[in-house]
Amino acid sequence: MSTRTIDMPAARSPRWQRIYRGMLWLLTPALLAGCALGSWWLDRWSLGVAFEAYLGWQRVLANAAVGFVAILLLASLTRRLLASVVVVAGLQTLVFVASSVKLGLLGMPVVLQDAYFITGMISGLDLSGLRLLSGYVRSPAVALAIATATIVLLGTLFWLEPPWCRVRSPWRWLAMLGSTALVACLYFAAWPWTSAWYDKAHIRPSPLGMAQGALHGGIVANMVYVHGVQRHQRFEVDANALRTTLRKLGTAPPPATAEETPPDVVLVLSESFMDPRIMKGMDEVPDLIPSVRAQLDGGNGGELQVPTFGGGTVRTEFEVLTGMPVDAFPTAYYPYVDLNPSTLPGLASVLKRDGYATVAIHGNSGAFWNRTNTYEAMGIDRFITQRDFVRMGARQDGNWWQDSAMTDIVLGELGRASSPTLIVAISIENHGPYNPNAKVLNAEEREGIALPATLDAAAAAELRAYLYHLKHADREFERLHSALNARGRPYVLLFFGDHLPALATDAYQRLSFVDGRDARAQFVPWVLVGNTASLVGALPAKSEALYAWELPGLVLRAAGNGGDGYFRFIDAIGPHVDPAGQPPAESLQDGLEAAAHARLEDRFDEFAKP
Amino acid sequence: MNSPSPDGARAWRAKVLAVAVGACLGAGGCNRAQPKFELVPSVVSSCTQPVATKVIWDVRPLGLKYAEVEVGNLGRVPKTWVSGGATATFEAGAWAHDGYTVTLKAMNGVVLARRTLTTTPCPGKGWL
Repeated sequence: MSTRTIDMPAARSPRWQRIYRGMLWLLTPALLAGCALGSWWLDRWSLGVAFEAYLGWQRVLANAAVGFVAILLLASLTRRLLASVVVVAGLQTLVFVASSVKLGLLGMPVVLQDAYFITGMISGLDLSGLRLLSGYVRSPAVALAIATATIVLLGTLFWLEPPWCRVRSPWRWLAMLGSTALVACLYFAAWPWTSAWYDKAHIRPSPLGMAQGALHGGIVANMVYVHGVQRHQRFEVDANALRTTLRKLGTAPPPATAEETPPDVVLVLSESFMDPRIMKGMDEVPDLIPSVRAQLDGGNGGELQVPTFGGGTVRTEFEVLTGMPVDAFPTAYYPYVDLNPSTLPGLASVLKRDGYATVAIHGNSGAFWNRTNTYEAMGIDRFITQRDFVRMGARQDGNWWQDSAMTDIVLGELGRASSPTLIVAISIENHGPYNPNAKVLNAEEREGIALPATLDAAAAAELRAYLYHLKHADREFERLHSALNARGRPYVLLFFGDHLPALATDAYQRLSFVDGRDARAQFVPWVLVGNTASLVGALPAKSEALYAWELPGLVLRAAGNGGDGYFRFIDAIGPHVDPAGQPPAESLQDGLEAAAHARLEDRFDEFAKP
Repeated sequence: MNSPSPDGARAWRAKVLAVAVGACLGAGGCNRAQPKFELVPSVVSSCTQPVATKVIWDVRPLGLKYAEVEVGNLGRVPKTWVSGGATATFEAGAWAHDGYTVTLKAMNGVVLARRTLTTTPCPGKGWL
């Protein structure tokens, strides 16, 4: 007995254990109160608002409750209270720090869907999410060292801390049972997580921004609320609104003549592609997107309003592939994750019905943003991902796979195809962060990009890092366009940007925009080219900007494909909406939303029948 | 195993409490000089946004001669708005929305105080 006592560290001696257990009743409430207030302080700090903003004991507790449950569960499993508190508090701190970084870059805090970075990693057994996030860590080596030291310290703490109860203590089992029940209730969005602390009146969410709910209720309480809404979400079809809109507008007629040979259809979503000349002073430096501009000047494209800024590619992607506005599903911020239907009608399903082979290409993991499952639901036959890029010997330029590699794959697929083919290519070379020190293949080219003198060194360096890849995107558009022309087969090529890039410096503020509007209000370019007879008639007569959900109808018309009732409805709505002008009439918005809900359930034709 | 004596346990709890209180006082958190910093109004109805605001500061209790104020709406990059003497009042145009935050800073960038505009719900307009 005495030998064992001598071998133990002082902190694990029976005397210390007795003292520790005696202090627990004093320590526990102090620790929990500290955690609750500390969590609120971090929440307010991460949003950049005052500690007192919306401060109230209910809000503080509502935000801390999830952490308390986690502490209870961990403490009952490990029988270590202090170490459990430290682990949970540390994880919460990480979330708030990440939220602060995200708010600075994208203007929105961490939301529930961001957890998909983690769950996607686990379910997809890949580290693409971690890799993307690590790009935003200033010094990965330091972060890794801190993470390792933290794990060692926590391990030591768990080892040193005496158990707070016996292995078979009834208190332990009660804590385990209670915390497990609360976790289950949280997952299934049941009481107490649906109580007044987490209701709409308390959170006051706003369709104008995801940050509002976090401001009013706190980031964690907002996540609980959003989870509850999504768990119980039902998108009811407003039959009256839909039938009224259909009666008023009807559906556009199908193309007068179908193409003799169905053309190949290629869609290129170019990551963060924008026209730099929407920023002041950029027209005084050499053009960085001459090929796209030539098409825009020739009337083969225009401006596009996209439903996201700085990130959230899948929002634009969803609209272009399905023709449904994401605003029709306000609780589904990342539709591929939040909707996750078993079938998702859209461009791919319509073309597949008409004998097309359907292929998607993206130089990242298939699990990222649930693309693999979503593409399958859309009717896409094959999905070429980063594993194939590696196998094909693609090269990286900066952090990501080159656009030129993606072009090679597109052309290779078309070359091998034995039937008309739809290719959906999602580029990645120009994904952020735009680190001026990233190793690129041609640093001289990057440093040679001319910029207005109004930028300081940091902003200029970041903008150059972005524009370097933008030039490549434009170059690859031209290469693909020329190659498709040279093949001699009919084709339609849609090229568009998904959003403006998220710049960490104040480059946008320093340059400002030609139209005087904010960065979030800017449009991105789209270009539609091809060699079909239907193309000219498909290009819109109006010179105004388009919504992203209008593009698939355009593509189908250019391909001489009548689409289906839903796409003809979208075509009929087009002339009545203008993203650069006044918002559409409320009745039209209601009709469009109802149509999207019906479409998601694949029931649109029920309502479209006369 | 011997159980701890009640007197010994009580003595330990008292020591811990004393250390905690001492740390609080020692950190100066309980007795530190504070600047005066007001955002007027600080609470408005959501129906009235955006609103014009006014900031009032007095940094003399800290022994400072100058201060500056940064402003920002939620999710936007804060910008330096005004700078002035130890006491000052500045009025802003009607650009403040729910979450609009003003931050009082010393000229060396140290944050002295922060105030945020909050709102009460707008009846019939739940999205505001």
